[in-house]
Amino acid sequence: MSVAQLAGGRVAAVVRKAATRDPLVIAAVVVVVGVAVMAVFGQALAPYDPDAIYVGPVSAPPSLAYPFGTDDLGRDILSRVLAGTAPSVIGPVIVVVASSLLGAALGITAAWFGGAVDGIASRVIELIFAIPGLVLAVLAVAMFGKGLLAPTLALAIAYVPIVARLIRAGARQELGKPYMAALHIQGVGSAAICFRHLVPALLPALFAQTTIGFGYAMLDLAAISFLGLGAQPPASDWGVMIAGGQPALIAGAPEQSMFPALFVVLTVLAVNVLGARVTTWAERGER
Amino acid sequence: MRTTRITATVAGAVAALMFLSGCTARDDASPNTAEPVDSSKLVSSLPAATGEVDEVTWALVEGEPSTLDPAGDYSLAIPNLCENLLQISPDFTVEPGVATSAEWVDPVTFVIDLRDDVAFWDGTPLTADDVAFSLERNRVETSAWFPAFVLVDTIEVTGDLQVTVHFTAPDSTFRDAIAGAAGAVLSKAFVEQAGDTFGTSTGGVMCTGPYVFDEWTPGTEIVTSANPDYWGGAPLVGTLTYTFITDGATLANALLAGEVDGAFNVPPASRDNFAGSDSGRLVLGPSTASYSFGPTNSTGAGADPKIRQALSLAIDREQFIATVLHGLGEPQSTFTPPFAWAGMEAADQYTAAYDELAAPELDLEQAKQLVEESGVDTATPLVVAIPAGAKELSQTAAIIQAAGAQIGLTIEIDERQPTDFSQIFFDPAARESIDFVATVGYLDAPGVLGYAQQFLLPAELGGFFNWSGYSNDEVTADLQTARTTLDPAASADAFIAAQQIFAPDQLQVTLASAYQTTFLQNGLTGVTTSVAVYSSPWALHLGSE
Amino acid sequence: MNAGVVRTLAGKLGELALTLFLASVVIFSAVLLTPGDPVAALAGGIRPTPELIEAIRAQHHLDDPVWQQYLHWVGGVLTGDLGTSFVYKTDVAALIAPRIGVTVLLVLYTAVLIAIFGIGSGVVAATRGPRADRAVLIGTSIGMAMPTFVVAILLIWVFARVLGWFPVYGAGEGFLDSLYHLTLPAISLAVLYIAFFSRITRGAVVGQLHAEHVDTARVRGIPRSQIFRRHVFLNASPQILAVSGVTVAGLFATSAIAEQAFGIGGLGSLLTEAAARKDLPVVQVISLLLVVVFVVLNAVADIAIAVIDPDSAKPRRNA
Repeated sequence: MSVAQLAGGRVAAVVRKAATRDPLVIAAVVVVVGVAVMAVFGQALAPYDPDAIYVGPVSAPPSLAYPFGTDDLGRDILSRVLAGTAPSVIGPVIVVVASSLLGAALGITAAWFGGAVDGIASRVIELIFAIPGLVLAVLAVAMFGKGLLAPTLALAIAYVPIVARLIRAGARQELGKPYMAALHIQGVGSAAICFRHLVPALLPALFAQTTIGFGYAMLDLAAISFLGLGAQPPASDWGVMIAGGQPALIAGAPEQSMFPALFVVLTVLAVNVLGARVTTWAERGER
Repeated sequence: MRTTRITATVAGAVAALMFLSGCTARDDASPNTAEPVDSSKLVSSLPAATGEVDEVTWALVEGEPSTLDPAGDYSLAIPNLCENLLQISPDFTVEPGVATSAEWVDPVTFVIDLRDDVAFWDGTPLTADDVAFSLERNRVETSAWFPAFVLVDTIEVTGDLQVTVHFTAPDSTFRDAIAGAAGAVLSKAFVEQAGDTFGTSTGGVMCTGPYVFDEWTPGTEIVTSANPDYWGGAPLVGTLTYTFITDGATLANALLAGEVDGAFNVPPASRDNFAGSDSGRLVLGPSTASYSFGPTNSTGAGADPKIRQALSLAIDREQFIATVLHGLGEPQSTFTPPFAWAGMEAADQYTAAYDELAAPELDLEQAKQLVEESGVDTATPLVVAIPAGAKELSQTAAIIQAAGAQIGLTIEIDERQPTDFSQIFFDPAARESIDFVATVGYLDAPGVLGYAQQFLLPAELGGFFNWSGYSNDEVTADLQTARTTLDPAASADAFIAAQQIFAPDQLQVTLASAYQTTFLQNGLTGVTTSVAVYSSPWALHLGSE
Repeated sequence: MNAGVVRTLAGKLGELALTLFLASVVIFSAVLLTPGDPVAALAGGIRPTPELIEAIRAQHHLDDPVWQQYLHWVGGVLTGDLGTSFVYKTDVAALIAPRIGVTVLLVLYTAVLIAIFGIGSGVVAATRGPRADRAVLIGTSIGMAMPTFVVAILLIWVFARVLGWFPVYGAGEGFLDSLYHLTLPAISLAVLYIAFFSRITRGAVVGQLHAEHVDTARVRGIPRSQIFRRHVFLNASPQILAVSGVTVAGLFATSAIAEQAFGIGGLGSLLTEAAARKDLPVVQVISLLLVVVFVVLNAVADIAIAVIDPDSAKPRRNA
């Protein structure tokens, strides 16, 4: 069995082991799968057209016909939450995937070559780290105008240092292990060592970080929409819905803000639980 | 089992949040009463105050002005600082003010006589020179008030306290216009000295109004104080501070918490909170404000009257008023709002003609048919531009969008930042990419011709907003006659004749008229509560009860 | 102060200067990367005449080479000339100055809340038995998923609608009134970080409780409270300090959300508003300011760690 298979098998084993021993993880998996289903089929699952106005009375409290109530234009909040899942989830996915790829590339490059390359890479990491993600996202909005694209890309860059640092440290540790030297002596090519041995060994840590990063990215993007800089009304993005429901909130109709907020919180909570468990098990697996 | 218990607790906490969020009992059956208001109960001003108040903080919903120059921006801070030649009473009649009289002495000569006891804040007395200078300043093509002066030939100082305006033709609108900001009185010496900085936070303004400009901290507040030497008597409020709160929810919070003493144009969405407040009260007054949308260019689908008529037929006005205005408004049949002529001599004539106009109605079948007849390519989406951040207009746009969907028109919403939005009004290129612009408009001074001239006349005759290229010789002639006829009844006849022709074309699809809303803390009184706030010193009688 | 500390200090200062320089270049280049001509923004919406364009280009040095423009901008920032706002047409310095105070107060207030409740609950979790540990774990699990804007709207709803104990708008006047006004905004900012600090503190303290020197101290019969203060907490503090700099600096950025929700006229709300209106000069200056705060606070935290625990100065994180 190669190192790659070992490492690859480890992730699955970790999850399996975690799930059998921890009902909280099962709950988190259920939520994450649920949100994923909502993201893919939300539009189809919606009982009403999410953008249709006056499908019910205006600002109605939750009822059988409108389980989450209706908003200030008589739109069905459940339908809007369902339809809003995809736009609320895609952004964070792009952020973590892009930042993981970039961060891993940067971290591995720095660890692999060391010396001057490492110095430059570390400086770049330091630099990006010094600009808070929210600030970079706001700067992007000031440059390119409102909408989710610019802040998403800005956050993808802002999240690079965390991944890069983690991967760089992990890669240095892994490269220092005896089997790496053995592989070199055996005449295994650099590319093969890197992609067949080093990268797979780093995957569990990367996976854990990606999971945790997703939660933060979701909060950051929702915050940007809440500030009015991201998705724009009447889009059924969760952050937009939370912000848009504020007048109703003080008028005694909290459901317009609270239900989308609940889904943000639940999703992040579930992802955090998964991330924490995966990290723990990944660390134990290493010992 | 440790983990099970954690699961149960987390689940419990989530359930509690859920309970808090949606399932709590309501204080009242529905948070959204949108009951219609009896329009005869509208109040145009509160009883004058009798007691002094040290400090009043007023929130400006329209946000921070770009300038306090009356010629430069519309801000509710300006009318208390800079007076116009004539005053507009809360009931929209025009009364003497800085000018004791302003009358036609012959069909083309208009004489303005000034009070002899008016001084600027710095103590220099107001002279005819200042008035002539102020009027000339607005008589340039780049001024927003230029339309009021198109028929003016010369402005002449004919005495220490007299200005005579010579016209190329009689102008029935001029007297009412100088009761608005077109007649704002500024200190000539100060304006000339301040140059480019006039009206800015550093340069300030110099006027004769009941409140003196003290300080403007950009982004934070504008501080003004009582003018002890005001010719109409010093106000009872020592310091009147303006803060800028554009967000409706924030404003409602601030008012209900008593952090701000009052505000105009408060969000209708918080109607019930205001009505239920122990600390203050919501006052409804008559207004010329109306919600509407109109075409922005002559080539798009918006320029086709059939499309506008179709959209008009697809929008349920009662529902619009209940949803967007929470009942604080009423249907309006054409773009000229009835309150515009409430104080005019020929008011009865205008009202009778207005009552004969077809009221807006809902008829989807006819609307669909009109779309079909128009031959417009329904595959191309129509774009409605709205200013960003205005919840009511965002709702309006969503309603227009939904109406379009019902009759086969795809409508997109383009929310624009203030600077990008205002670009629409002076840059034809900015109008190319949009089909409609939805706004809340109001008339700050009495007069029926304002909108009609701007929307219907050719550009060179004053049709500044006639972007769809409307052209009807009869309408043009009638409107010109209405303007150049000094006899009120004859002028009204001409306008009414034009209105019968242009009203069905819906150059603006008028959705509703909105009442003037004012929220004021208990204990305070004396403010104007009608749309006259835009052009009269509305805080002159403000103070404690 | 020993040589290690001095070396760390010097190294830190060098790093700090380099990072600030690079960050200023990145932020400056935002103007160059922005689509559209800055002249249009500077002209303020009116269609500019060729003469006006000329005048604006000259006034803002737009015809100079890029590096000269950069030097001019940075030089201005260093000498207090922060440029002119596209929207307000006034000095950026005049816009920012009156707003710094309230944001600093809000951040400090929040930091105090985080220190008390975050570190406090972490210590409790680590030392007061499994029951307390579990309770804190549950609390922090939820807290870590509660973003500022969700806490803010919950608080606004509860206090505006139901309780009315705290104001939900504005920053108040005078110190005590400001604290009173900033209570809910500070709580909304603090919740997520309290959970985060609680976790970090718990981990650090648990790690120390089982350390050798603590066992030795116990055997020597030193009182529990003294062991905790001198051995456990002091040795756990570098781990807490390590995230403190990042956290406080991050609070300056996230305060924008609380300021927006509670209608506070601070730096964050100015940043948001300026971004929405594409007022780049204001956004640039505030961004740079936040980066400076970030870099300086991080350096201060690192130095503090080096002072407490000179050994940590050598194997630095991710070195």
